[in-house]
Amino acid sequence: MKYIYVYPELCTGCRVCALACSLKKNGVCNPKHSAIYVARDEFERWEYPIVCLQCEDPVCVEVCPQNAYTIEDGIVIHDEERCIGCRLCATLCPNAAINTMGTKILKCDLCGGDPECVKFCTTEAIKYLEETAELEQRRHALVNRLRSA
Amino acid sequence: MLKRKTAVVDLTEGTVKDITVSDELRRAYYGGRGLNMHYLLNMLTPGADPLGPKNVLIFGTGFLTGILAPNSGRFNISAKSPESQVVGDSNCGGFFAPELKYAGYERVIITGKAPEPSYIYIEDGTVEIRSADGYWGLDTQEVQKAFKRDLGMVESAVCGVAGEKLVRYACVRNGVKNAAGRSGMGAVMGSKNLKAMVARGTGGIEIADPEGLLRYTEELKDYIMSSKITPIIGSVGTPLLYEVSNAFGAIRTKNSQLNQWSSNLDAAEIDKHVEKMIACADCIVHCRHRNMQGGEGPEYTALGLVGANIGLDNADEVIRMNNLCNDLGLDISSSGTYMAWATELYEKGLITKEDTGGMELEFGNFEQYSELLRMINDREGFGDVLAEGRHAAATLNDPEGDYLITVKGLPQSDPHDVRYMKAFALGIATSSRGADHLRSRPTLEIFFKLPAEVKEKIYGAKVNSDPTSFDSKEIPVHFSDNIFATIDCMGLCKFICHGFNSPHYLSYPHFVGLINRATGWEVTEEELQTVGPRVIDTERIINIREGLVKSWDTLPKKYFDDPMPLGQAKGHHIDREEFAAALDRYYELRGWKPDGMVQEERIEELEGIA
Amino acid sequence: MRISVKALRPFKEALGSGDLELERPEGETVEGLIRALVEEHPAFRDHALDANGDIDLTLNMMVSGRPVGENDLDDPLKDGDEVLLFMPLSGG
Repeated sequence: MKYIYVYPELCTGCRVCALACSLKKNGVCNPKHSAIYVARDEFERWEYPIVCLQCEDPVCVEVCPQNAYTIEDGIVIHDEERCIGCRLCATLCPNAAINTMGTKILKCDLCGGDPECVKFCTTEAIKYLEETAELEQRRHALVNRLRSA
Repeated sequence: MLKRKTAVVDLTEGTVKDITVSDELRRAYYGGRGLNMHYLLNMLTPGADPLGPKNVLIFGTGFLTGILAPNSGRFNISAKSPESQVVGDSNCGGFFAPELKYAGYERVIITGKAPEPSYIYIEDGTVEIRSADGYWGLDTQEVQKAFKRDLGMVESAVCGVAGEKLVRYACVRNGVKNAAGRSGMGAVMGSKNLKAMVARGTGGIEIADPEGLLRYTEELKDYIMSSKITPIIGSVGTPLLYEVSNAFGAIRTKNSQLNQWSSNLDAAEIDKHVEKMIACADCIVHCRHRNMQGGEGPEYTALGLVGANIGLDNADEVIRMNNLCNDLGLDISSSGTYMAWATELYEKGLITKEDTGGMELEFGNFEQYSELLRMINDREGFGDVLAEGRHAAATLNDPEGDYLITVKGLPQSDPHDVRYMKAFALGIATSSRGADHLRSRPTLEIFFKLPAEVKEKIYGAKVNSDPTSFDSKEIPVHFSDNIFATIDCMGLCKFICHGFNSPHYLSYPHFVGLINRATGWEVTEEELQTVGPRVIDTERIINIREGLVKSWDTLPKKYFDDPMPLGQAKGHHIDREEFAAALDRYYELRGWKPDGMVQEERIEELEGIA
Repeated sequence: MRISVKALRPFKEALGSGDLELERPEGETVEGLIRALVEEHPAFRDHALDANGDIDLTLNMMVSGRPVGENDLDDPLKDGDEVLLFMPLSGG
């Protein structure tokens, strides 16, 4: 199984990943219309790409009143047809990885195995990699840390 | 497609009006610098006081700004310059320009003067003039942080106290370091009681062919990344150039009395102070340093102008000077040029302690120059004199500006002593905003091994390959002028474009590829190639209205009269006759009259575009 | 004959030093010198040569103050020449 892994120390804050996502998923350019979000503060001197970690036991699946989330082959999929735009998932996601634009939910589905964002990152701050024990440990540690926070 | 609104804000009346922009006008100038110049041509009263309410201040995003196109996050700020004798215009990266577009506006044109300190807030299709109470008096970082604190995730373009106090080379800041640095646009903001432009937008920019643009931009990204130059720009940045120019003997040192300086400012020394390389919006190159002294930079310009030019040879001190200029909102090129100028005048005895308020100006004195920058910012004591820049020439006993490194009243932007590279010299002499490398520096001149037939194909004519000769150098300058103007209309960064850098970077066919996929238009390369000359001619007409005559297209006196004293460039200077002949050939190539004026039919044509 | 080479970034990292003093045979050309440096410093190869194995456009050279143009690669060096290697780049 391949997942997106994030390396904030390599992120330059350019947001090209988010622009590519917004164009791919919504046909428009604005990094706010994207399922990957680059949090950044140049005055406080940090950059951090935020994207769905595809948790095994996701809060979004648990809380969605419409059962609009399912897990398919290890990927958490959001069903627009079922969604009523209540935004509970976005509010409760411990990773803040579910973005919204009005009542529209923007949630990473790994582009069906060919994530657009990764293609545009020139510093490998986001990588799409086959899972390894080490990478999975890293991903799970992050999920657990965020959930207990 | 790609169209956002254009607002005219009258600060005197407190009104905001949207105006329509025809597709004919957009295809004539596209955006950024080009459209800004169109509006200056139409709205600026010739002879208007640049610091008075009649000056017109324009914030204009590039045509491709904010979309998925390589390094496309840029905008231009234009107005009549309070610093130079001519048009003011400055291009800037950062994150403000895309945000303005997402907020629904591509251009905001500002006239008048607000009755009290104000800022302009743009959000999702609305423009408001708001009180700057609580923001006025803050430096450039403080005020941006205050806006984020009070308004959330906004992006802003601001002036510092230097702008409020009308320091003639105050810049506009966006982020920690990104500057619309040149020609005093921060002072124009201050003169209008305008502290900031603040934007926040949720609007998505629609694209005619999303999948086409995705694939094409990915292709361009791979093309840019495959260049051997790209990883160097992204890891070392412009400090690399210091070492190169210095090895040549082409670093402006101590007000161009010398042309070579310490290796303590080489990129390897700068590296030691870098925490991380970061990017502007939409940039795949990331050339900007986050330094350990709490700021961003330095660029080559800072190493030269607040380093070598003022005799500092300690990287830490130069970075601190750079950070101070950035926080205060002062243009580094001008600050370094004027401080070095005053120091030479002091050394030569043309001014004394009585003129400087007791300051014993000496090259290499970090504490003194830091203090002087603060005094300029606050217009305190001798700082108040130097805040006037070249306007203080008579006061400083250099009435003809013989010791000034300026063209058309604008200090030379970059630290490169152009007495060796003759095309660079012709470029800064003819640049529309005064001495500046970003208008036409023909970098291909230093690609020594570029085959003659490749050069001929690029330029459409044979060019002498000797960089020290003026022979045929009007050709690369004309080519560079045109493509740089086009890049500034697109909102792209010159770093990844042909002409300014490697011939294997983006050029007209790529611009056309991006435009057509984004808009659905069918623009041809031939059509796009008419844009640059149109912009250059428009700027020329504006400058002529402000009094420009042929003698303004010249170089600092020292470049003619003083041969370079050191290094490989030793002995080189500018020959007046050779220069004059090159200038005549340049005019001819541009279709201007022998006296440098624009043909009447052309003026009529450009004034007729609506 | 003695040739001194001054290499700027990024070439100096690849050559291990920015200042090299070399003993070269009489009649050595500019291109010959570059190829000898490639032999001795494998890390320099990617910088010095393009995909066709020719001297890369981005390896800029001056020999004792004279720019090396496309037709100057065969020029013989002379004893005491100083060769400057740098990348053509713009910015400000």
